[in-house]
Amino acid sequence: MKQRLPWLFFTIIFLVAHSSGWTQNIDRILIPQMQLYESDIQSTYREYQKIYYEKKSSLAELRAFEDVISIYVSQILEVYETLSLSGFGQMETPRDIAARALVYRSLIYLEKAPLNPEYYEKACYDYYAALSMFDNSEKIPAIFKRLPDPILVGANEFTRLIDVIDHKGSDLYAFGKVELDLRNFKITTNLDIDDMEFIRIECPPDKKKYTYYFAEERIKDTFKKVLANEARSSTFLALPEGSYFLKAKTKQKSARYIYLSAIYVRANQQHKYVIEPLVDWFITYENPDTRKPTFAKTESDGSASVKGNGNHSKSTGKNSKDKSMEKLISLTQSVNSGLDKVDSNLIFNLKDPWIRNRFASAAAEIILKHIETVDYYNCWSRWMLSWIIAKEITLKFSPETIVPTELINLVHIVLNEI
Amino acid sequence: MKRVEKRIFIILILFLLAIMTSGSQAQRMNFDNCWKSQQYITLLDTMLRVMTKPIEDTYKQHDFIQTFGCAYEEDDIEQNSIRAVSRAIIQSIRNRKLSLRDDLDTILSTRPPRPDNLAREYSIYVNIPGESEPKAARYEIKILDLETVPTVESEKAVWTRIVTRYAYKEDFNIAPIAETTASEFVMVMEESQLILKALEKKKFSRIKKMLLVDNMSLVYPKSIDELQFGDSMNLFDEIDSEKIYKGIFLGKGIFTCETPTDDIVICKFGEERLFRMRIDTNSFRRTKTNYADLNYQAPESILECIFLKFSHEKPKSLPELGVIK
Repeated sequence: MKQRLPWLFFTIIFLVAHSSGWTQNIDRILIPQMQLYESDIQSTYREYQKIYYEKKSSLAELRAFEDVISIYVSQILEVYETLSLSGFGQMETPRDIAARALVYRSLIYLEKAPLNPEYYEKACYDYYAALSMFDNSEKIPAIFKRLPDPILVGANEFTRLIDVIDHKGSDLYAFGKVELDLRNFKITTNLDIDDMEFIRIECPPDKKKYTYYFAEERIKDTFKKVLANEARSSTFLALPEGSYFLKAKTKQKSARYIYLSAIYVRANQQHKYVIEPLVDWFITYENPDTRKPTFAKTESDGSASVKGNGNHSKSTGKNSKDKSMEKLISLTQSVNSGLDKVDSNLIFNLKDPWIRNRFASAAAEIILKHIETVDYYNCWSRWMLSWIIAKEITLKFSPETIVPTELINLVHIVLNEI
Repeated sequence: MKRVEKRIFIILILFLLAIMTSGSQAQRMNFDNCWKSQQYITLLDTMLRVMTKPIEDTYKQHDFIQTFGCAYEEDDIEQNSIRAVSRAIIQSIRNRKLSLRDDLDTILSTRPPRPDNLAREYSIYVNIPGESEPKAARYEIKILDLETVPTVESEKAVWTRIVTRYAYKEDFNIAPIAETTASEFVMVMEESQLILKALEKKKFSRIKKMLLVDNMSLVYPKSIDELQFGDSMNLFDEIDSEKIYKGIFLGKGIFTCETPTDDIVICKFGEERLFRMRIDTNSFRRTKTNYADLNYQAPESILECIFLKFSHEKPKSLPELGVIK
């Protein structure tokens, strides 16, 4: 009953707001409430660091702080859900607050993780949940945006969460996100869900300390859902880099059948997996979403697509130089047109046309370098790649400054165009 | 005493034999030849045998034509029966160069044909092509045979034999002359069986030739959800994206492709990354449409067998690529 109280409270607020015709004013009540909780989370995070590093408090005390933060986070998420369900149009601010709240909790878990490795995994689930709020949106994710109030981490002050993650969250990059989409199962499908076991078979030595405790239960729950209603069901997992498979503990089958359910995870990447029934078991396979950049495709299309095995256009050195130049020119044009779409004054001092042109060609050069490496296909998302490229451009142009958010936005626009 | 011991020994042997033979389908899997089973023959062999059955004179005299259908895709006899009858009816409609006016799937699922019930006759409306407008005509369907037959493809496979005719003689008189193709689906099954057998021997160039992979593309599937058996795709090297390799989709997320080491592998989507390759989702092509037209899907049991046959040869983890931090 205690757990349901906040939910009831918000439902009542929502109903009252609706019935009194206050729908347009709902943001005036709930968004300040979310902001208040967020500021509480921020100060609790600061306190948590203090007691963790300075006072060397007991685990029970740390646990109490985690609980407090969890309550704030769940309050924020409930308000966010209420606003989403109410059809409230301007979701950008509440979504940013909700995402930030999850990242804060993830950072707290990361603080404690050296004492309890399970917390790395916990931190990942929150971090991924925050990022997934921006999955179908073209808006810049909250972690790249300026925080309402700067945050103190140790002796450093940060104005964006991505900078905090870069500073403290390298462990998050040891994991990969696996989205599972279960489909085409029927209620008659004969699978003993409780008898399933999720096993890691391969893992790089430096990733062995990371756990995957929560994955099995999440997979089983999703299976139960899909078998109960025959619809599609999905979930996501935070798994340390490695190879995994789902095994039936008692199934009388050839040992090879486990290959059907193999899942391969690379660190700091997103993998979209589909699970479908196959004979009397199931198969897991990735839903590929890689596309070669358009300009790279047009030149290799004719020769490569027909000839087959390992063929590629055998261009002379001069030709390939020309092609590379063409790509660079096309990218420079994209950067220039992108600069018109963003607030270029917030990037660097680009008022002088000569400096602007120099910036455009230097940025294009760095973008091209990344597109032609494996990074382009292996990066977490376009936003993450934009962040990495923007960091490199900043290092070249103005190494002393922090990476401008508008620059990340600009790179994202260019990457979307190719 | 010796006699008792002998009896116990025989019972023990029998018990062990029973355990060995009573496994799941996967246990019975024959990795030497996925199409060979100790218990069952293939559905294709069954169909080739039953399709020699001539149409009865009574029906022939009354302008009926005979067609056949089969299905193995579903794990349910009723659903397979519906598919088999539907395939036989569509074959009859193709033979007579007609088009359907009614929703055949709805008609069949409302009163499903099953091997053990009495739904044996249906009546639907079809369009007879005319010079200006098509003419509506009533079409009679009689199911003569509908049998469940355990085969290599599925233990719940179903085959059917039907006869069909126009309800009214005047429609018969104006309609185009009917062809006598018994089942195009069986012909497609025959071809795909050859392809899958060639795949078991990793004869990739033969498969490419049979599927006309190098011909002009007729359809461009946009995602893996739109892929059908025999569709082709390009894979490229993760490090050097100019290097292109061919892949052919088989079904249920399974495909075959060339690799940088000149090997032929049978993978599920995602496993191409074990060989440092990526699928270019812009490169999906269909050069042969008959598999999609007849809604052919490779048998799951065969796909599973071929996939598992070579699975142990693959690396167990993704290669190091200098992943960005």
